[in-house]
Amino acid sequence: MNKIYSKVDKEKFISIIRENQRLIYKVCYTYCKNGEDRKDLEQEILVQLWKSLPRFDGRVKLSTWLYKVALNTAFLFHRNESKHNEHKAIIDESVFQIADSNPIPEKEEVIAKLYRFIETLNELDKALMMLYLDKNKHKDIADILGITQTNVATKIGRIKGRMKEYFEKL
Amino acid sequence: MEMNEITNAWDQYNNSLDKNLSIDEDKLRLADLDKAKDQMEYPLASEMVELIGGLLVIAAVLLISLVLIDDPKYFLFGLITVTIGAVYVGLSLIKIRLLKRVNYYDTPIVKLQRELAYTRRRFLKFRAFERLLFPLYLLPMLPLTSKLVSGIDLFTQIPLFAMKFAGVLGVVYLIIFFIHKHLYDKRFRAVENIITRLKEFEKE
Repeated sequence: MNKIYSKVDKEKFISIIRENQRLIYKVCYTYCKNGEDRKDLEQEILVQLWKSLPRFDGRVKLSTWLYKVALNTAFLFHRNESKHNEHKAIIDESVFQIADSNPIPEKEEVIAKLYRFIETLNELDKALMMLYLDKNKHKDIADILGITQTNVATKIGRIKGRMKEYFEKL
Repeated sequence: MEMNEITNAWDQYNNSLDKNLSIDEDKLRLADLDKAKDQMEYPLASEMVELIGGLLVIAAVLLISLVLIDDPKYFLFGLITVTIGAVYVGLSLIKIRLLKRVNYYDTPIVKLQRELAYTRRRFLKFRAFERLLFPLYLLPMLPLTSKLVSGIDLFTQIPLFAMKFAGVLGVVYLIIFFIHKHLYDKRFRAVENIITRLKEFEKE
């Protein structure tokens, strides 16, 4: 198996994070409402990406692979919630900075509603919804989640139906 | 609201993030990511500690048995303790193997969650078995430690032996009962719920 990043240097890693910062930010925002937890999850994802990157073999797009690592980390983070305090922080504060003084999701009404809808979904559907909204192909979503493409299409259809109802009620 | 309005809003949100979001690269440069422990290292570390603890107990009991080798009763009890200790060590090794086998991060999500749930279920069953085995581990250890620490030969004082054993057993079973009722059952149900949810998610 070809390893693309057999030895990852920090600058290369930083450039990968820079190119995919939006993805990491949204995973953290979707899975953690609390700012402190979000910072911990962000750190956990960065650590996992750093440690797992040498295993990336290029069979899938880098962004697809990053989604898989980030979402798996978020799932595990949720399950191990009680153990978060044991985690010694290696980065004191969030590495993400937002230039606009208002964080974007709260600012845009539709996005805020959309995040509230996503909040009502179970953790697997949250991932599915985020991947769909980010215009990932069904094949990539199926690969990230580990279900069939037909299943992806069926589930997206159902979630869209629920979302329509949710927005109509508001 | 129409679906395309929602997806358009999401696209605009992505554009805003592209414009406004940045990372503090210096913080990342300074962070020693190699030293950071990830969340799945904790269960592995805990099993390693149990394994080392189990091996130390076996070594200690073997040593005591050798010191008391002249008395076949003590030697026999020592061997029983070592055998049960070996079962604990064996279980720890199986658990470590199970934990190391899982590829935690670049496996498809449903597959990983399923593997983790089944691993957790096996762990919980092992834990229940370990707790039930514990009194048998304790029984032969009592006369050994009593002889070594206070010089009392519990085999010549059967009522005292029985009393001590009953006392310790009572406390141990109370703890086991508490753990089962308040922790094990709850955790087991949680794992079963996860497995059910994953099965439902996989259904079309």
